[in-house]
Amino acid sequence: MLQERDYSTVLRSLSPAAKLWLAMGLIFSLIFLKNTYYAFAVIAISIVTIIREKQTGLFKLLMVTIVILFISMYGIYGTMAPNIMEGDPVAFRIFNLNFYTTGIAYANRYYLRVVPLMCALFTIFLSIDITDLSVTMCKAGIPYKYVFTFVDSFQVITLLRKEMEQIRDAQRARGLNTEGNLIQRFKAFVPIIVPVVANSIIKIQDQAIAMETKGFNSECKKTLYREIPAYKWNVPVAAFGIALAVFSITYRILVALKVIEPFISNII
Amino acid sequence: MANPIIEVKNYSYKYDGSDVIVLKDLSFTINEGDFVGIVGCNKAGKSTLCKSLVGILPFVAGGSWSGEIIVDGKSLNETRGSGVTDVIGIVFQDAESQFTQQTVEDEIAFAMCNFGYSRELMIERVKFAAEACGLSSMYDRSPYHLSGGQQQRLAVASILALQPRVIILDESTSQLDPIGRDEVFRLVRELHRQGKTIIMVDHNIEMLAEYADKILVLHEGELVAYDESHKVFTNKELLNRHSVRVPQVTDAALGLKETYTGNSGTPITLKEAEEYFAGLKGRGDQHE
Amino acid sequence: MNMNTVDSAKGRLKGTYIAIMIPIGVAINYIGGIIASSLSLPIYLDSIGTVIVAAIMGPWVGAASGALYNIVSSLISGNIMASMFAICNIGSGLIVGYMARKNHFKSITDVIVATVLVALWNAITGAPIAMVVYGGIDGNAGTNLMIAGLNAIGTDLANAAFLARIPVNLVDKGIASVIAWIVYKRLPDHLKTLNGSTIEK
Repeated sequence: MLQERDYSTVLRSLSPAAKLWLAMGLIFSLIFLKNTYYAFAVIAISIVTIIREKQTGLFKLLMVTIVILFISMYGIYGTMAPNIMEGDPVAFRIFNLNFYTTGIAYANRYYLRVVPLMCALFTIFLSIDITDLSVTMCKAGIPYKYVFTFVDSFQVITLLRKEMEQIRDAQRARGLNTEGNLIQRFKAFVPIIVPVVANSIIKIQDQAIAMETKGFNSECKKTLYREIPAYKWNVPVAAFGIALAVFSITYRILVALKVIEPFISNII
Repeated sequence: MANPIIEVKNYSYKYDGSDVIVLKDLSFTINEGDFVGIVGCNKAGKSTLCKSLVGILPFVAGGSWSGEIIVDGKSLNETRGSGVTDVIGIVFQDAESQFTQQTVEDEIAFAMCNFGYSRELMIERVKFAAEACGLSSMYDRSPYHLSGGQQQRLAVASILALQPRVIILDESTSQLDPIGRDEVFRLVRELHRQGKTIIMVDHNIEMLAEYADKILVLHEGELVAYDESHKVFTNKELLNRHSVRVPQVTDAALGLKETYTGNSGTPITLKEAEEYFAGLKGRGDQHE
Repeated sequence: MNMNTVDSAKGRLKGTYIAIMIPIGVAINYIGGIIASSLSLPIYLDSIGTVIVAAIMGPWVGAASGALYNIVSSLISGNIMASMFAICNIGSGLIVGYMARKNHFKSITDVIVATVLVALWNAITGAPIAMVVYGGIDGNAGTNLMIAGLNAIGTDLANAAFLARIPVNLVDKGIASVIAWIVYKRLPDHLKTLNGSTIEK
């Protein structure tokens, strides 16, 4: 490779495969272990990583979703969750609404599963280089055309996003109102999305022909330009991820079979 | 020694699902090392012709045809279009929508990966193509963060890496600003100097007059003219009849010709025009 | 003139079209979602790509595009459980794709039928998936407001999750179908047969 990648931090140096195993471990553990302390620990570690990896810019968008979910979940479930029974203890009152402890526990169950996952996986996946990921997928034996389709999605998202911003600015310059009441905002949607969609569809024949001339359909065995360099933490991290997943699944099965008591429990 | 690299023999084509015959009985030969400019008004069939030369039409994208196109001695009717990409590389107008990779380096390597080149060879060719197209300082840039001219150069680099003998550019400069357009023409001239055969569809008459050896004029699918640039571009009556304009300097000179007869060598490029008009300058005083 | 023919619909290019169209569908879905949130609209607007790809390329490619969108967007946001909504998108793709294949994506009635069918499917499958992923509410503010409202008048959460999704999906899929229909009608003929239909001359 003529240009070196950025391998300055541990997270960036890990191979995509190691990160995927780690992600799998996190997913299974956060779903099956149902432990509030663990959830908070994951959130804390993820936020520290996000700050250290300088991913805070993109994370701000995610923060909006996290806040909306907080308000919706605790607001709706706190007051009207399906598991609330008559006579349940009230944790507190706001604006004449009762927030029941069972409702808050219900909200905890879902919020403390979704949000740690979002934080942790956001930082892990954002640090994965798409080209490296495609090399990993090809080496894993996934057929080239499927890998291409998957990886190209990210590419087209970037491209259409750029086009959408150009079209939105152009329409604004022509007087399109993107603020204002709901009806006005609804009306602003179509003049932005239709040109983006139409432009991308019109080009597909030329795009297909260009790919054909670059040998996309050729029958010979495809080769890979890039190589994933070895890194000393790849195997330990992958092993940790697998172990975490196996542990979580086993724990959940044993609890379900009532072989062991759930010794890891919620705060509330 | 003229070595024909592309021979078109009585080729006609119509698109699938349409009754209109887009290319009508075309016959011409392009020799290795030529620089051929293809001009014509819109819907003349120029793009269709380019795609036919690389075998995309009809063998990959469908359609009906008669006649034959022979590339490097092999008839496309027999090979069904395969193997052409070893000889001919084609670059299209909208470079940005042809990019599929994250960096300039990976984009140049993409075609080679598809054809199964070894990694050592790919690294060598990426370096070669990037240097030839002036992209050596941009290996890790995203293709979408390049200027229009740089993007077209990247599109050329991606097929240059395969080292084709013929390069077709289908309206590659139409969407570029003047700086980008000049970059592309300079690159193309250098590739031609190195022995590549260049076929360029372009609306920029002045640039083609300067760089192309031969001009092919298409009108409504028919071959109207195919000759040396000088002969074609000075034939104002023929060109105007088929909605193609002449170079501005030629137009001016031909206009003056009506007043100052007897001058030889109508110019088609700026340099020729300089000499031509300098020659006329003295005559103006005499006329009075 | 004696002409030979190669049929474009069966040509080598079809696989390439699929490899290009699926990412385009994914990206259009994603961009639709971005525009919706930047304009603060209370609907999803993330099925436009699925519907268009299904109309142009047929049911299975449309379904694949929809499913891949859910997977890709859950990878980008980290919300991996949301990839389960792929079931909704797969259904959307299949419904519109089969309608287009049978040449039933032409008139405004077709669009209305498509909208209703797709909206119902999304409401029916979306509600239980949302129960599993989020406990009943949604990532979308509009749906949540309706759920809160329905809850307040006494509907239990499971039913509220389903009922709230019906109007939201009708509007959402309606817009998606209309936009896809507009674009599909204007396609050049040679792209219209990619979905397996035959052109009526």
